[in-house]
Amino acid sequence: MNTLFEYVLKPAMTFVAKPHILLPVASVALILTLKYYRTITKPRIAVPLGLALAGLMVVSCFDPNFKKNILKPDNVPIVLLLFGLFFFFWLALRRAAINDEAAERGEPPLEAKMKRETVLVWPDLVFVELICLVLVSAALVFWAVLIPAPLEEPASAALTPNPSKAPWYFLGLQEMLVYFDPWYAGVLLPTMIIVGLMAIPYVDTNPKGAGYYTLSERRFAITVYLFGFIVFWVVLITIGTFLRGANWNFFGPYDKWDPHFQRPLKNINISEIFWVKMLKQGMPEKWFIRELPGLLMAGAFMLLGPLVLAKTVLKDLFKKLDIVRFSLVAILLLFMISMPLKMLGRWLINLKYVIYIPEYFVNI
Amino acid sequence: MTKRPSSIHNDPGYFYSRKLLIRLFAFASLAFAVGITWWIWVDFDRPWKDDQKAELRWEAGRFALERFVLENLAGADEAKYAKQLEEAEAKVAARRKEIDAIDAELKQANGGFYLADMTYKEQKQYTSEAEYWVQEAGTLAELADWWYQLRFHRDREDRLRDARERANDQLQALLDRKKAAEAELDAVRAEMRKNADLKRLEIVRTNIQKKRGYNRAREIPLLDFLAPPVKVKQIVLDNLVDNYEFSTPKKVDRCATCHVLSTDVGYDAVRWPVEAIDTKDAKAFEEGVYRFVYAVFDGVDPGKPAPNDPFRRELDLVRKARLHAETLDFLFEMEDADAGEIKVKDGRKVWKKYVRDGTGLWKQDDNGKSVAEYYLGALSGMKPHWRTHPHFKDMVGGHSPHPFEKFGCSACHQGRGWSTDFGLAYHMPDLKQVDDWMTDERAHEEGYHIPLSAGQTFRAAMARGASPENTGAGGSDLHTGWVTDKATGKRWEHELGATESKLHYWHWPQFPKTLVQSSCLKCHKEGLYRTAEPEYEGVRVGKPVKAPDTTAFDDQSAALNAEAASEPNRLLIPAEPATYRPRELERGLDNFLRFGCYGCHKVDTTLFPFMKNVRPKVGPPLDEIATKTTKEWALRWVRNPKDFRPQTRMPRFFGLSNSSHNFRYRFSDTGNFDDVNGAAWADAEIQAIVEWIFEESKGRARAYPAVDLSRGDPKRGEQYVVADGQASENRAKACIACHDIEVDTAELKVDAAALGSSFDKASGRPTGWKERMSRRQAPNLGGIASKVTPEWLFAWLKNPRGYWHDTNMPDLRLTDQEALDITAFLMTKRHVAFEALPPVTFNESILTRIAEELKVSEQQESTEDAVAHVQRWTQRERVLYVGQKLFKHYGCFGCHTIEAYKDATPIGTELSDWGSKLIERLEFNHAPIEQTRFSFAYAKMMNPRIYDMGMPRADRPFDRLKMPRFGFMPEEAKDLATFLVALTSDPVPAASLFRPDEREADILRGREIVKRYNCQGCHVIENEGGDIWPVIANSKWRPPDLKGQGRKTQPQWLFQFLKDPVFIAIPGVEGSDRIRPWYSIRMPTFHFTDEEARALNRYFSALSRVPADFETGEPDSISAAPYAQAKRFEVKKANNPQETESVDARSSLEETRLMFLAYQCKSCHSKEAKIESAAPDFRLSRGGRLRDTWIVDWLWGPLKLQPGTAMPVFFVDSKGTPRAQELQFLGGNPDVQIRALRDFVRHHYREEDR
Repeated sequence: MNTLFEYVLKPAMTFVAKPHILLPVASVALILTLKYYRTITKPRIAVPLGLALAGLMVVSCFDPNFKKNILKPDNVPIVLLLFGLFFFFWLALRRAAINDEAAERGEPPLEAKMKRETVLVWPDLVFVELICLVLVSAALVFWAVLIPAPLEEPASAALTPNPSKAPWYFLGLQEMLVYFDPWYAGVLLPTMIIVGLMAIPYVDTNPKGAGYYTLSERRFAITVYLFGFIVFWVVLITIGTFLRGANWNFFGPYDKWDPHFQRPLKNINISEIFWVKMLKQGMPEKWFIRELPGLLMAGAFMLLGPLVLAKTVLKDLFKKLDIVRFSLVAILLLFMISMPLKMLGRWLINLKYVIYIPEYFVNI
Repeated sequence: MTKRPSSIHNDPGYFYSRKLLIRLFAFASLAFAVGITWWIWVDFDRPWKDDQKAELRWEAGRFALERFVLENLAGADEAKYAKQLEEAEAKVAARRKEIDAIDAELKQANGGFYLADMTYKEQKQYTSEAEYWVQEAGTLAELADWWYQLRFHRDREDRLRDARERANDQLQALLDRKKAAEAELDAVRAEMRKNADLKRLEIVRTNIQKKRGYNRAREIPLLDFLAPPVKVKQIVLDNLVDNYEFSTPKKVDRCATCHVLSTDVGYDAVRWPVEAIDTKDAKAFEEGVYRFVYAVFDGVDPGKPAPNDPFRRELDLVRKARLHAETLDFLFEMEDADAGEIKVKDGRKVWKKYVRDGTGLWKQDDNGKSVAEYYLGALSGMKPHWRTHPHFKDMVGGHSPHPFEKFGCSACHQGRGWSTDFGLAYHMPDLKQVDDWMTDERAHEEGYHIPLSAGQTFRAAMARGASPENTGAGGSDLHTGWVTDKATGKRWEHELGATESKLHYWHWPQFPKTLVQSSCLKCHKEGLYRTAEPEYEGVRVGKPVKAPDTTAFDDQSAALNAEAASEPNRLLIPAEPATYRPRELERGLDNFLRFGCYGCHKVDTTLFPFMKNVRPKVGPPLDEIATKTTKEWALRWVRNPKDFRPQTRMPRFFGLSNSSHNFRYRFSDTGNFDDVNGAAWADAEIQAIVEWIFEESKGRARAYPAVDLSRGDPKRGEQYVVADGQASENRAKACIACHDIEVDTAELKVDAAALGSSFDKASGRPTGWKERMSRRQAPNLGGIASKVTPEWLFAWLKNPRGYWHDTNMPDLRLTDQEALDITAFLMTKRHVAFEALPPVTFNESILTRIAEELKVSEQQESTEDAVAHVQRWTQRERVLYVGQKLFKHYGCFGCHTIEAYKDATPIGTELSDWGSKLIERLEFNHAPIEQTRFSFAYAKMMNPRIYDMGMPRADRPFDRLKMPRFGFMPEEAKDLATFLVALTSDPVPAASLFRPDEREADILRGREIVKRYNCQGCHVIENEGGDIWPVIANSKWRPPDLKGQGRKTQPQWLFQFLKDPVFIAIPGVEGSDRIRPWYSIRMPTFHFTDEEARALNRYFSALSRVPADFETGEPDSISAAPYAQAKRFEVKKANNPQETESVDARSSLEETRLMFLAYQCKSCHSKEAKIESAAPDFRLSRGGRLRDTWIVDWLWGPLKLQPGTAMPVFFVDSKGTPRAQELQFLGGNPDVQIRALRDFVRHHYREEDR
């Protein structure tokens, strides 16, 4: 058993937890789940799967470093978040599966059967709220006594914690800062996220799915949203919480966060790859020429991208939406896709910037 | 889950099952209730409460006993005490009333002053305005007008200023009155302290015993906010702060929550009940102790323990009269414990005898059941942390210099003061000494942070190269070390929950017990002052002897007091407790100065003013080295100074753990990695340095006249050096007060044993030393002949300052013959083993390489150019270049002056705030030691290169750590580390800083000088020193104890004496250059500066608490001194022949003369006297040597001032009654007789002189 843990489970988990594996694995897992959601959400499959995940966590706790990491008072909420997410994700998909099957049979969705115009304030609203209130309070009291607030030493500008982490809800953003220029990751991307969320009512004209769970009727919208939420938000928070250790290095889930461990990364730009590595010559002096490869790549991505999308994966959507809406959707989508691309570039080829124009503070 | 709704009247029905909701609600409420209860209990159930309750019971027990003693044994009854209490309270109330009245007046006066001040300032603006207009007036008329106005305003301003002054005076007067009244109030309060204890007793008894039910109620959770009997005891310190980087809030200490009794007097061990009770009344004692035990055990009768009594174990112990051996050990002084029998002392007399029985327990020999067992058994339950602070008189007590209310605990102990949790208060186990703690495995086991591989790498590297020191592979010269007692830490973790994770977040964990003294320097930046012990008290006969102080905790002084009380005529040592001394810290500072650490490491004198009198460079100047010694000697010496002189302060720079191995080095000229022989490299460096130094000194070498050694007598020389006190005739010089004279110090063991010390063979240092440096003051003279030329030695002996201006070596005023004799003797001392050492080899190619590397590292030209540059030089030029560079690289100028580096800046790390450095900032690298500041410093002292262990930089010779190895003994390293930890820059409000007053500053400065010149090598000063005494057989020839020196001699005389000890010499009088002609050991001429001589003068005066001013005549209040009276008449008569003579005065003078003859003073006090009875010649009194007051004290009781003196007591017998024989002179009044004799002697010899 111990051998299994030491020589199979640990290496496997450590391998999967490598970010350039974890992100694609999470993406593929999400796509597969959404594709085979009707089978996979059946309790006889989903429950063992959930138990297996929980069991994995419990077994992993035999490793002191893993245990220390997940039981750190700061990190406990993230563990709860992961299991909560798993549960609600399953719940929504399960209902969507039932509803979609029902719709295929021509029956109304589950929610339609439960539909009420009104319920009694007492006991159906207030009493339930009261019970929730008391339960949550009790849970908080137990939590507070068992895991006291993690107070640390007095803050000192001369001695900062290593690693210095943002609050958990910002860890996704902090993770992005690793890969992008601060103005891009800290200003532009968050703005795009907010703009994108605001744009949903205007671009998403599909009236289906209101008031009941469904996947087949809104497959594109849900897939894109879940990618944004689960892969680019929750997974990044998980990475930031559990896998980013001392000196902001990546550590496997069973590794000790050794502050002496240093890996000085030497990252390079597209222009350097093109001019120096491929053409084996010096860098051109003019920034425009120097950055031409990057500019061309980025331009092609952002200008040709919508056209390609319209002809391929978003063929249906292109037909449904007008040109303005489609462009908006495509551009937002391309922004979203640019993020994992850049991250993979960093992990696989130490890519620093696609466009690097320090003369004008433009680094992408 | 859902229930179909009823459709009647559009009633939606219930969505959820009500039954389910109610069940859910019930479950939620229950869970919530359980959670809340648990939470309250967790909050309520704190370990400190049990602690405090137990302590309060102890307090009650103590009060019960004290009350009993007061009531029954001291002859007092409760009513009397109550009345006293009442009276005292009335007094306090009256004072309070007075103060209140003053306060009311103050309010008025304040208002008055405010108004006057305001009006005055208002007026001033008009005056100023008028002044302006007067200056700016355009016309005469305007001028006149403004002049008029200005005059008006000025008058008004003057009037208002006066009014303001008057108001201010009134205010100040009131403030003074208030201050006086408050002082009186304090006095009354101090008086009633004992009674206040009584009052407190009532409170404690009431709280703890009588109203138990009520108290229990107040302890109930949630009700315990109503003044519970146990509560957090917190003090807020006004003048001390915590440093949180962004703010510095006042310090808050809650340590007394658990250590309640530690801030109260009388819980140290057990002395108080024993001393409080007069043991003569055994029955009463028994009853008192019984009550005490009864109270301690919360009302359980110790005779009949209940079956479920929690203290059954202790009570059984008591009943069976069996005592734990450690209890006894702890409680009482033991005598002959090894013999299986001890006598238990109660502080005054032998009381009971105990023998060890078969089970190893102590048992009373007669098996009789005594109350003592109750008592002792009870005390075995007292826990160490409940006891009174061990340095209560100095640290915590209300009358100590550091009262608890002002300084709290964490100011010195550090830790988190406001925590009431054992772990979170950051308790730290004490340091413990471990042996051989450097092995990887051992350290790993004990949990030090060691990368095992690093140690192995290091070992492998060491195995490749030459072994660095006398030890084998591993290169460790740390055999012994002080580390945190991990075993205790683990026990605490287990028992008290002080876990490692809890100990993670605080930068200032408590100091281990040994290091608490490191806190002293936080406030004592002006110097580590300790109270000077009073020198004499109760000298005069008839003066009441101070009663023994029962609160004194120092056994020795208490015992002495008791003795003194029984023998009134004896010199009384006052019952002051031994002053706490941070001994490690003191020694650390001494070593810091002695080893010249300041030569390389700056310590900011604005932060630590005690460093301002730092001594000059510790090493001799090198400017004239060529005249003193040879290159052959210097080469071997630099290679390893300890080869020549194990005790030398000169450290070793070469062949240390990071530099002795062979290494691969990339050379600038070839760019290739080459294998380099570490030893050959070091030899090349040594050669270059020595060559350069000798080259530098060439131009300045002076020629000494040749010395004919055959004229000197080595035998006589030896006698001078070792000062065999038996040979009184040869006037020994006693060089051994400061010097050792044998290389192998083991040979000195006989003398060392006499000094109470022994020698550590490995380091060659005495191990028994405490505060004194004794013979380590000066170099060991063994083997000196291998080092210096006789010409130089002769010249040096004649005038040490001629060669080295700042030397501490005094001028012994040697005649040529004496100097020759000593030279002849010392030149017989060759160091054969040193001379036989292999010579330092010279490898030209390595030296060239070194020169190139150094030239390249200057970075003034390209690598190629630099290499070519060096190639162009001659070999000699390269050697000198390397020598000069390395002299600087190793910072040799930190200790030695040399012209080329006269003004060079020190090369070491500044240490001003070393103790505040964050642990994270210390470069431990792979050193297998604990990660604490102390351990860092300690390991650095023991092996200065330890932090290069396993580091790649050790292969780059000029990147290595440079600090040399001083070869400290573990104790020295520990002391130095303690000192370094103490150098902090934590903010301390000015009000808490130690500011010495004039006297304290004088004493501090004096002690510095005494240390520097090793005065205590010969003299006993402040009860310390006299290192030379044990080797001088005849006590009469020992240098004097300087106790009371300030009271004894007049400052102007002492000043001159210090400057030039032979100034007293009367021309043509043999032996008159010494006060005691029979002394063979001479006081050397130290060439003190005026400042130093003055400072010493002030020091002695300060110790004796007399003014250091010059005496101005007529110091004596008794004007009836007949001789002086007669003299005054003579003077008057000379001026005015008509003056009629007073018969009394004339006859008094005659009587004095008769008395002088009768006592035969001159039979001893003259140079004709025999050595055995010789006393200072009266003629020396003409220098104004002695203070008038001292002479009086001396004649009253010489033995009190100088135990063992041959001076007889003439005037009183041992009981203090005037002797019958003396009654015949001057009306039989000894006071008058003594003054008359004093004046007679002084004036008589003045006349004789004329």
